[in-house]
Amino acid sequence: MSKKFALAQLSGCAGCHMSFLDLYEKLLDVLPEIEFTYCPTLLDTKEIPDNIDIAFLEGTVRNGHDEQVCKELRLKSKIIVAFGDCACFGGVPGLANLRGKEEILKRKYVKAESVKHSTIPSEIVPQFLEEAKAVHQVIIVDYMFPGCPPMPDLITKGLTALLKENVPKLADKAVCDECPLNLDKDLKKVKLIKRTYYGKIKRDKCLLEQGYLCLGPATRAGCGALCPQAGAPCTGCLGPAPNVIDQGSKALTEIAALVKCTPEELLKVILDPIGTFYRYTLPSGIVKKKEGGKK
Amino acid sequence: MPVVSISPLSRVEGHGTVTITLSEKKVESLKLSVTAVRGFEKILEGRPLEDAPQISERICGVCPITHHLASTKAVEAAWKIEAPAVAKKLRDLLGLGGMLGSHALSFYFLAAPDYLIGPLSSPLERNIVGMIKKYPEIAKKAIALRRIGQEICKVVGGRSVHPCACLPGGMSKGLSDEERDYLLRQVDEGLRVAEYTCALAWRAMLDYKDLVEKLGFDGTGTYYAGLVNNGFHELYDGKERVMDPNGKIVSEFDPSNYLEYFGEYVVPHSYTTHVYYIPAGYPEGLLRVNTLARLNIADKMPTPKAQDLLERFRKEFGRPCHYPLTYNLARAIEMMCITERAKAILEDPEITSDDYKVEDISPIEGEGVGCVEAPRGTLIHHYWSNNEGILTKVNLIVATNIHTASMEKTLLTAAKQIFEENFLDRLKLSKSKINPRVDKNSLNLLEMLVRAHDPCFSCSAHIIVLDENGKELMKFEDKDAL
Repeated sequence: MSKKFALAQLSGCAGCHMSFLDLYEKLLDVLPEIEFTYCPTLLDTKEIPDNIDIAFLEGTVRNGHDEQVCKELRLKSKIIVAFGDCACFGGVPGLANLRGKEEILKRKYVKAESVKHSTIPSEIVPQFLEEAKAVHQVIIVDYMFPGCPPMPDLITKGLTALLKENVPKLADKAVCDECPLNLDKDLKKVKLIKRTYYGKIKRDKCLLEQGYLCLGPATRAGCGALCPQAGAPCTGCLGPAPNVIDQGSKALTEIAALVKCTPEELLKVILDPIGTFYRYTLPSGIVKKKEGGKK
Repeated sequence: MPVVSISPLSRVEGHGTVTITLSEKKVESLKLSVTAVRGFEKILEGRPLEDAPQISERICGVCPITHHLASTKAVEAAWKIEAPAVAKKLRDLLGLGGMLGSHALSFYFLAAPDYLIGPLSSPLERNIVGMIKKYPEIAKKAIALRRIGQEICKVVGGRSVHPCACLPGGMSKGLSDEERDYLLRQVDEGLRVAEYTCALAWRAMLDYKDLVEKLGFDGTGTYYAGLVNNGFHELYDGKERVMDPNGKIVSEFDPSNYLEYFGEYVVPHSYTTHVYYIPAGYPEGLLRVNTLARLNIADKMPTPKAQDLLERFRKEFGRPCHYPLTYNLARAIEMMCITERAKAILEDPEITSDDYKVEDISPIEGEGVGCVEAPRGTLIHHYWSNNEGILTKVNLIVATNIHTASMEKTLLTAAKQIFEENFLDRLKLSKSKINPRVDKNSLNLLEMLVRAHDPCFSCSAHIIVLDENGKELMKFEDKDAL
């Protein structure tokens, strides 16, 4: 019997939905396997139905309406999957937690250079919460499919497992373990950390070895090391590597060890440690204090 | 009281709310609210500028490419860097891929079911799953066209959703011969599917012509804005042109001067601001951007097949064309243009050059504006950098903000037509699928208008109908509409 499936969006960017559609022609096989009951992005079903088997939730919990959707889906669904980094860890919108709610709204609706008539929206719109939250900070989550966005392959395998009532499995290694550039590296040579615009990144050599800050060692595998192979350092979008709770502190200590310096020395050359090490995970990381203008 | 409510507004990207207040049978007011905000202006502050292209693209997963591009251009403007010619061509190509993926989604996955399955058919069937069942050949074309766009993004940008390849000073990677050949094969298929798509769009527009020329149109127009390059239709880099409701070109300016022309009026009922054309004031200076606006403002298309289509479009609907539902046809015509241009770029022998990155770059204190055409219209990133290359301030004008006010006006017109004028019964339609009316709830017509504008609310929408005291009126559930 086909499973009742829901795909809902909180304050997200729809990128996880797009990754689902990036199954391309496989959609013709996958969609008939499920009873797609709720998905405002793709279907006209207006109310969340009862008795959902599997619900995927994309996006950060950023306003009162997001909290309600989480709670309603939890009540009506057997399995809740936090779909993508925003739902799993708070995601990029979680970086807003470095600022106060008032400061965020004032910048956008009052202080913005192009604003000619200002007010803080308050009619009809749901309340903007003090902090951005991951879904597990609001309701109990059964599984997490990390990634910004989760890769189509993870989605197919994960969904197939759930349809067969199996436990979906994530990769049990780090990005470095699946990165083809990670062969024969000689990290003793790494003297300085370069910013990504500096020089020209070589396509056939470990990025850390070239001195670029790549979060591969602290990040869960599953993407096939897409960014490093495109000449761009891993920014950590698959979340903490297996058995790691705090991706940021793990990345800091791993990389400090690799480049043979202390975490304190490393922090001196990294201008934006929070945005670098907690880009996708700040709301669920151990560091949560506001920046307050310090540098 | 004969009132319906749809909740949430569906087959659009993101969350919004339309609130219609009725008094007797008259529409008193209509408010379009975007109900989510994340505050990217503040999220970006304090981050190194070179990280902005990968952080800001998380604003939108449907058009991350355009944020990635506008952001990179803003960083380069702030640091006074010029990317190599090949890098610009690769970015142009990447932008075309992103535009194709997004247009294919909007056209086929979101809008087409209304025309193919019927605007008032069962809400449970008029969607992509219904298309796969009823029109599998069309569904395959839909998937193929989107795939071709996404594959361009993946190969050129490193990833299909949230790419990583654009850097201040150029690209993190070039294009290999194998990659170019692979993309050429994709684009050749794309050309065929785009032609098919244009034919399909024409047929839909003509089958529903009376609806197209009436729904949401009150006899007046709006201003139109978008990039042009020496008068030609342009998506990546050019001058911002503004056309008035009568079709007169009233401004053509360098996007870095946008603050003189585009102002934001913040309304209390939406997290999306109303952008307007400053010389005309608010609300007189309402703007439309996106596909229809780009076709209206451009003198010519840069490619032959798209130019033929534009001429036919103008013959049928005039210039400027003010009919909101024609956004869909304009979208199809742009897909023709995109595939033609992508092929030309891929056939440029220089495209596989290794000269894709400037190596000598240092941050300086300054400000810079980056502007591109997103699928939904003009997109502006404005950054301020300190001497370490850290963002001290960010201002963003996102396409959906630019046409939210005009969309609200269009919806008000349509709501009056539906609630006050017995609109549907007076339509002259022969081949359309408007009958039988399985869905008694004709508010899907309002949603069709929203879908034509293809907004990116990045959040979910509801249509709520209130009486003059603000009390929510009886609402039809979809199952009751069946």
